[in-house]
Amino acid sequence: MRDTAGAAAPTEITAARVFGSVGRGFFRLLGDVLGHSGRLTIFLGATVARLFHGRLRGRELVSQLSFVGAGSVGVVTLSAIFTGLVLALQGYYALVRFGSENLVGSLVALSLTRELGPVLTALMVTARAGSAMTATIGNMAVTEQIDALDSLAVDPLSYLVLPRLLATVAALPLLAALFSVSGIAAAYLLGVNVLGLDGLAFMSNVRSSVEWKDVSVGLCKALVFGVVIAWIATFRGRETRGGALGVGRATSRTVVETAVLILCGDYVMTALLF
Amino acid sequence: MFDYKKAEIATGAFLLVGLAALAYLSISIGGLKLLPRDSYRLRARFSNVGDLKLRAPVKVAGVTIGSVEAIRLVDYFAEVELAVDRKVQLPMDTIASIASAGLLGESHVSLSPGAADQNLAAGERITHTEPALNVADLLSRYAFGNANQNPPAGAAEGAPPASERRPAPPKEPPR
Repeated sequence: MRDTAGAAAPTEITAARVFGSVGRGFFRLLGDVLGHSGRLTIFLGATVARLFHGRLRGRELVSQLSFVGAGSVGVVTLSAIFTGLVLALQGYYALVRFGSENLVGSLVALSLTRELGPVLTALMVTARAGSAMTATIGNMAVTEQIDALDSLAVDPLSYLVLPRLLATVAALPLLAALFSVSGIAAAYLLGVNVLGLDGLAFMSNVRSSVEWKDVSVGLCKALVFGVVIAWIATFRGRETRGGALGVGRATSRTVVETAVLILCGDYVMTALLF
Repeated sequence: MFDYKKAEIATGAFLLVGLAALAYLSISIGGLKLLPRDSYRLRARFSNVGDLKLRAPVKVAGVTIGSVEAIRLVDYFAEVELAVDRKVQLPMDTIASIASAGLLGESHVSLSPGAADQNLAAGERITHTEPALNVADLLSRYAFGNANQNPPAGAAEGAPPASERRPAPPKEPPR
């Protein structure tokens, strides 16, 4: 009773103060989003423009492709294997009640190619490569190395940003395909060896349920996610201010914003494309 | 420090593995046809196609010989376009019907070849068709048929348990 009376005292928290701070927070967020969306658009536009009139740095592109793509193969395959196993196990327990446990194949294949492959791949790449991009570029920004590049007449956008963007966009569909294939393979091995499903029935279910449209929509999603990851990561890197603390903050913002964008974007694309 | 040669090799290996996965996913699992299979088109009009879907199999005696390429409405009939393997020739009086594999199975087009001398040419229409069976319709017909056939038996069977059960509750309260 005394506690509630204390909370209601005019000096502590009043309704007006609560609403006021909520409103301020909302408008600050709105201003943040609107202000950034403009800068983000200009940033991406300027980067893409470098593709047409600028030097494409092949060496940088190859090393980024090796970092983003080849470096992610292990972690992507590993997470795909366990995703496939869980899907097969869960699907089996749900479907065996109806005696249609052979549908496990279609369940696993459809959910992997349509949704989980692109989304989980994108999240893994964000955590592994997106954060590293922000940290690298952010560190260069706070130690004024980007200004140094500028003064040496090396364009930071075409030297730092464009190779990362192209490498991520090229790598993500391949990684997503690898994710789907290894997930299906893991589900097949579990289904045939542990759950006692028929291998031929499993694969024929997979083949008959997955259509080219499912695969192509999944790959389109992966392409879009690739753009989002590199875009946010390099932008946050360029915008980094405030020393080591700033680099840490920028990296964590990159991961959070990219993950949220990927999950929201996945819903929007599923709703629009299917 | 950074070994560019190694990065090049890793990139090449990654591209090969990724493209292989992509090719397997789209061609073997996704059924992407790079080269159109050697097939010819037939059309068939149904009064009802049920839940027939695009790319559903076309079968003769249970063997898949083609797929459904298009379903459209023509003169209030569902016109289905079938792509049939060129090696399979079908007589003029072939009957096309929409069948489903099992109660919950997916619909497919089942063709029953007739005995005519002339074969269907590419682009021709199969004139004899049977619409999809409506399972709910069948069930309700079955239920109604049962009720009409033996209403006295059903009533006689239903009555005794009710009369037996009615005296039961009064027995329990005295105990």
